[in-house]
Amino acid sequence: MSEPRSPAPAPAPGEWRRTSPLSFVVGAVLSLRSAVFPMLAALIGTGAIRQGWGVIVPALLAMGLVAALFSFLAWRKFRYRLGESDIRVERGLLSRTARSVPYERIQDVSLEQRLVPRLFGMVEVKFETGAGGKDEVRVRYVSSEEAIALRETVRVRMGDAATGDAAIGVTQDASPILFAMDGKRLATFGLFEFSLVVFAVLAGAAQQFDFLLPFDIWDTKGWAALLGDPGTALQGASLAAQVIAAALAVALLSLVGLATGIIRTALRDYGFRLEDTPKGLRRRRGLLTRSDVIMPVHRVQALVLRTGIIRRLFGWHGLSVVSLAQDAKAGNHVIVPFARMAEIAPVVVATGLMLPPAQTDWHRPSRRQIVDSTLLSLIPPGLAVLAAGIGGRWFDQASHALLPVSVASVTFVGLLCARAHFRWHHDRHAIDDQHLYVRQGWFAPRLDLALLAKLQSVEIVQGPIAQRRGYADVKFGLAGGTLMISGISLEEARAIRAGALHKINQVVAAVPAPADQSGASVWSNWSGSVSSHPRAVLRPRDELELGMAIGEARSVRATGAGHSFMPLCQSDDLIVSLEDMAGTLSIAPDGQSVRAPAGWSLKRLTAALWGQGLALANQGDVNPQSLAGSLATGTHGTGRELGSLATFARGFRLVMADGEARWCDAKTEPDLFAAQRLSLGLFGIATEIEIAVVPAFHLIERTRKISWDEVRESFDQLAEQHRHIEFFLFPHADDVILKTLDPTDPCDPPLLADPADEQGFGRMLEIGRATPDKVPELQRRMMAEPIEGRRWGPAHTIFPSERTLRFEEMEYEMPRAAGLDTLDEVVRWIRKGQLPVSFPFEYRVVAADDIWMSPMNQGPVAAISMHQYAPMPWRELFGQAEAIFRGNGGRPHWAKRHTLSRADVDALYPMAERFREVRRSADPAGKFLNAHLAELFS
Amino acid sequence: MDESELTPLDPNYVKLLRLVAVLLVLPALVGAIVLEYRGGLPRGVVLVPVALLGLWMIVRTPLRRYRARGYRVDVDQLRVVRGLVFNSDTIVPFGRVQHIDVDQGPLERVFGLGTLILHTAGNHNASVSLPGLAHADALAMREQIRAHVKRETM
Repeated sequence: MSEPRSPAPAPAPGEWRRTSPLSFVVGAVLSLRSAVFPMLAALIGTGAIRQGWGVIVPALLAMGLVAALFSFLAWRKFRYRLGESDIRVERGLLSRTARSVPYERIQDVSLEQRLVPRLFGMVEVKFETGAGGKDEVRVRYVSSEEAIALRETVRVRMGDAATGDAAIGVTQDASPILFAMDGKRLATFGLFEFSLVVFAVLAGAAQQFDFLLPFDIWDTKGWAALLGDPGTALQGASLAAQVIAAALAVALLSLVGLATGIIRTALRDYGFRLEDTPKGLRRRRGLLTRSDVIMPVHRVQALVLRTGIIRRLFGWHGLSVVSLAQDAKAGNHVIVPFARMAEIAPVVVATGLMLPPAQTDWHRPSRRQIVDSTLLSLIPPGLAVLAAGIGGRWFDQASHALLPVSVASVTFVGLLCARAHFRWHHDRHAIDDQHLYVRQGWFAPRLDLALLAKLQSVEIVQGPIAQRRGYADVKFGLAGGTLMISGISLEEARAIRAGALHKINQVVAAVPAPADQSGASVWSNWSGSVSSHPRAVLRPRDELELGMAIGEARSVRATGAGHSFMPLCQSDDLIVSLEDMAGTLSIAPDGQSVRAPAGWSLKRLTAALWGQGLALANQGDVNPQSLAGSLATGTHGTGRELGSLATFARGFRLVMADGEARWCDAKTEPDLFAAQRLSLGLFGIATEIEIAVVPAFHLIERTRKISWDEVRESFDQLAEQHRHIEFFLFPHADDVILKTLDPTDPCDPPLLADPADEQGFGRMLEIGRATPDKVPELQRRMMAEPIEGRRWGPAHTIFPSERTLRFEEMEYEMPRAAGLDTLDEVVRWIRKGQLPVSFPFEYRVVAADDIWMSPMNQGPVAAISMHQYAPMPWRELFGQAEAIFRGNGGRPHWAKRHTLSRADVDALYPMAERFREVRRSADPAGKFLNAHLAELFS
Repeated sequence: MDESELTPLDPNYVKLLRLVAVLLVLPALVGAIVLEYRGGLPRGVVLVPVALLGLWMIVRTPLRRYRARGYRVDVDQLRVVRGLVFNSDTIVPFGRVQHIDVDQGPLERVFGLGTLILHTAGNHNASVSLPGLAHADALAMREQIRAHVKRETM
């Protein structure tokens, strides 16, 4: 990583600096400019103007001198210093002001070039603090090179250092352009910015400065007299002339409006460029006043996608960022002013968010709320009609009002109803694992996209009617903006709040602890039960960076989505995430396999495969895990004849302990490949993996209820009939939920509604958490409900289900023949003790394989997963159940809770020692070991 | 299930609310008495309704408001519920707290009460206040929450 040449020497910390000497000239010009008019007014007012140039010129000169003097003094007295932890500014002629702003409080550094300073090549640097402009620090003016250097220096200090970005320097010019507007686009945009604001301004100015006008603008009589002649002339003219005059007036008005729009837009957005720089999104725009702002991506709190009544019809939208630095100036953070959705999508991705995907599970506001609010808004027109009617009784004249009032009211009511109908069909919101989407509005809908992890607080509000009718508004605390979902059912409001808070608290737990703890990072797994305090968490972008990081590290573990329940990703030194690694999908000529970046999530991989007409033969029931992580832990789906994901691997590109990359497959490195197929990440960090694929196919999912006794008798038969089969068993209920997947006709339109009612389940879990004794009864009641569902579509969208409720999991792979009896034994144990196991068991089947460390390598297995709701106690329950699983010949899933010792591993896996030998030769220093793995595999 | 888990506020808070109600009602009552004797209206037309309403506001309303309020401190978040007619139920994760105040007004001091105020960076709910805690409890909660406050850049 070579440091880019810096445009100007960065100021050394601790050194007092002055702004450019030219800035006092700029200041003098500016103050002169603002003083000219008052001075002229004074000259006119005192009558001195009649004395001629003999007075005016000296007066102007004197003023110029005074302005220059003050400006010079201001310049002399202004100095700033970049300290170790803050920026200090001292200024003031008579009373001196000293201000100190700590770097971490600085939200943004922006550069601004107004017209006059620009003529001199000077730039104003503004350090925004997000305190509504109050504590802002401005350094005016420095040369543009120095401004850039200043910004860079401050940026490095203001917390980018904490995220580790600072280490990765990239030359500024190489930044990819996310969005730019050419002249044509600017003109189109200008047309849509049609505005009559210029009239408002003129009218306002007329009112403000009417004393300057040679006549009294408010003198109506005078006006009438002035217009008297043409007015009467107009009256006499033909109707055609009047129409033409009106048309001309309208045309003129439109022209003015259009011109205003185009000019304003051009002034503001000329040369609009948005770039994706390592420091954040960099926006440059402006004709006379050129502004240059960098918005660090991690400061983005939310995005707002807007459109207008008319531009919407033409498919134009705008995107702006909500961030704390925004309150200084509204509209400050427009990042795409005017574009097609296809242009906006990549910008959204660059901010770290996502547009709602096609299969987003949208929810509507509560019908009751819409009905209530519509009814409420009917009251005023109703009263008006009533008043007109009653009035008509008593006063004859008022009866004339009845008809127009009624017509107006009926129209109004019609509009209200149309609006209610529209809202019902178009207002909607959705929440997923990361985002909250809220779409609201009638003619010009706006879509708010917020990151759950950035929300500040969640409030559920209910008015008097809402309390009785069971709906509520949810208001979110958002730094720099507002966000609200109105009128949804109380249950849904609670569920959304719970989801958001879960995410916030999870992220908070992962935020680097306060600096006094030597800046150590925190990593936590998906369920929150495993956390780690590594020295650093890195996201290398290519193999070179990864290799350097590994080479320098004492020990290193790679993490994906953190879906392991065992401390596989724990490390006290370095954790790397491959999310940011560059890479693409490449397909083998025969179409039987592909090479994919190892850090891609299964979700991303399968979506990309689908785009190429390919699919994975089988998947598990969630898909955020990374490809590498799911192979390395023996993750699997279900299917009598289908093996785990690890059996799909054909080859790996590994960055080894020495930091060098190498390819390994069955031919080139048979031993390493055999071990790496299910590797637990012990041999190197995979960057690219070759996996077997199949032609894309569609699946239909069927869910139904069936009794546990019946399943026990007919499961083997059912497993032969269906490509994928599994069932969920609540230990206290008599029925199970049977889920089967089968290939289906691709012609059917996709139906993706998830039949599972996660919200209802979530409520049940919360009650069970508060009162564990009720768990058995709750489960029986839940299973008493009818359960029946179908959905179908592209295979990769049907395999995974949403899992928003956090759980802890243990899974044992039983010899297939012993599976059902083992499950029965565990269930009987739970029922006997009325134990509060609140999640269902999951029962799946996996084919045998020949992988050294695979729990399926001694024959086909039945996989029994035992889950517990994450906030409830699980350790003791799992411990006792584990004894039953072990007693029946089970072997655990490597990524789920187990307590195997080194001796157990040896007893269960004949190839364990061979596996260790390969590990020792690949990684003699044990870089890829952590405490847990060293115990088993050192 | 939600309401039962809330921690009620300090019982003294009812007294505080009553005192505030008394201070509110008193001027109205004085006005009514004056009107009663000077206004020339029939006996009791003003005084009786005002007195009844005042009594309701002093005796009944504070109790109902007290019951409608509550809070819950979890491991990582504070939940504040308030409002009889307009009910609001707010949760603030400790990790999102910017700073914490404990306020004590003169009336609160009389009853040994305090108000805990959590400040967040959100525009909405920039500060969430929880009145009616025993002052000592409020201080203890401040300490407890402060331990969780993280320095996160926005």
